[in-house]
Amino acid sequence: MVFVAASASWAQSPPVDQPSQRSSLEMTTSGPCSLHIWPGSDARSSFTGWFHGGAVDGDKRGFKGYPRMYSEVLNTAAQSDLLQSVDWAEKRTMPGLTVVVHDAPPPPNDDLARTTALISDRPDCYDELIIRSVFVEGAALSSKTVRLMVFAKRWRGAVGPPSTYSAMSTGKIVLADKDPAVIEKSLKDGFMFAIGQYLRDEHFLRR
Amino acid sequence: MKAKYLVAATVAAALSANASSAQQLVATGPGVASAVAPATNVASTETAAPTVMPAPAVTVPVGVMASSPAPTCEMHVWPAARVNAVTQGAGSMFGLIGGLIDAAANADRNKRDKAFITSALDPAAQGRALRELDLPRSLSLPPATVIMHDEGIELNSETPGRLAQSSAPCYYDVVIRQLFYLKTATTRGKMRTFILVRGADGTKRVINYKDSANHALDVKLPEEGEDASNANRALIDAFKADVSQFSEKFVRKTSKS
Repeated sequence: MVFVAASASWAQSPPVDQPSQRSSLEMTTSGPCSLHIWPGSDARSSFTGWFHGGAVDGDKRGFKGYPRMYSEVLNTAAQSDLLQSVDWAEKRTMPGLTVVVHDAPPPPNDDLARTTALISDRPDCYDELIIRSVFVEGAALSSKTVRLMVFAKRWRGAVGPPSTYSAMSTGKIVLADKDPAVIEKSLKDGFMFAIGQYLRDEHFLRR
Repeated sequence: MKAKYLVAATVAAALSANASSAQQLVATGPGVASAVAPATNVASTETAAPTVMPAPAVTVPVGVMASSPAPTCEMHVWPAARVNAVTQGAGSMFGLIGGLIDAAANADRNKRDKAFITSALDPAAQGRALRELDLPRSLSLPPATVIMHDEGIELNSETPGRLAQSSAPCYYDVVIRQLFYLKTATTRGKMRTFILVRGADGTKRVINYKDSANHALDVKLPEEGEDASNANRALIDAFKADVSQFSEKFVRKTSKS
């Protein structure tokens, strides 16, 4: 497996919507298939308690009754770092897969209905995996979790719309510790666990 | 007991919001004033630069000179700052203990549904849906430059004045106050959208109308690992249907007064 500098990759294939964006890492084995992965926007918090609930990012906005959820730990940069740590080619069992993990999310107006690739000059065998949302969530009578909403698009052939798939996955976390490093680790482990759940999804494993 | 309170409080909050919304119409008609008034209230949660949507096509009535095609009105649209999801099983009909068991049984589901709705109908998705609906036209308001804010705003009935810093003589705030999903043991899941429309004519508030609309979803909200594409589309369709229904109510009520 060869690791190629990101800037070289983008010189050949600049993204359509975000010209300033740079991939941080490309793993290449000269295969014909390509998987591009985008992190999500900074994680948001969601909490529903006995007497409070409903406000999105209630803790960040200083609302009474919303405990701190530490969602800032899973900002875009942290997500990108974590996504780079996954051996995607091995997980997909596609030895010839080219993997590009981007540093920034797709444009905010991106949605499931899009039928064009986010990059120009896509290969015929091209997949997109987009972390659409990341939540750090808690609720009365329920455990605290990191929740991912993932969009996946798959193109096979030069023309035609992609097959589109969207799914949620979660990883349990612990926020009760007094040590911020422990909480940070728990959140990142929860994120990776949720990614792992998606990696076992049959849609992801299908070629 | 607490679980009972949780469910009761959540449902009561939605119902009271609906009841209190009893069409609080202060006055009717779009305000087009000559006086330019400074903004009286700047929303504290307005942190990000809003997106300005192109103004809808202007239809010039017969006899009116089309000397100024650019709309003079401003419409500020705020996405939902609150999202709630409540699923009640049959247990909720069996008193305190039943309610507690029911709340515990549905806690994970409510947490999941809330996150899913928040994701599927994030500010960008709400903005896209509202852009398709052409709000000034569907609310029968004058052509306006629509400014989509990308963060929700918390407000109550005492929040005075304009929510954005604007001196436009003709000014509207459209606030998506809450998205509320409710599924009971006997009904399909329904998406209810609470909306507030305020209009200002110079310094005077001429419209203050809040209400809600709801539509049943034709699909179940997904569990982890299930394909969420259909539910995603269904939520967006329900949201658009809610806003359209609200708009019809708004036009009906404001045209009567």
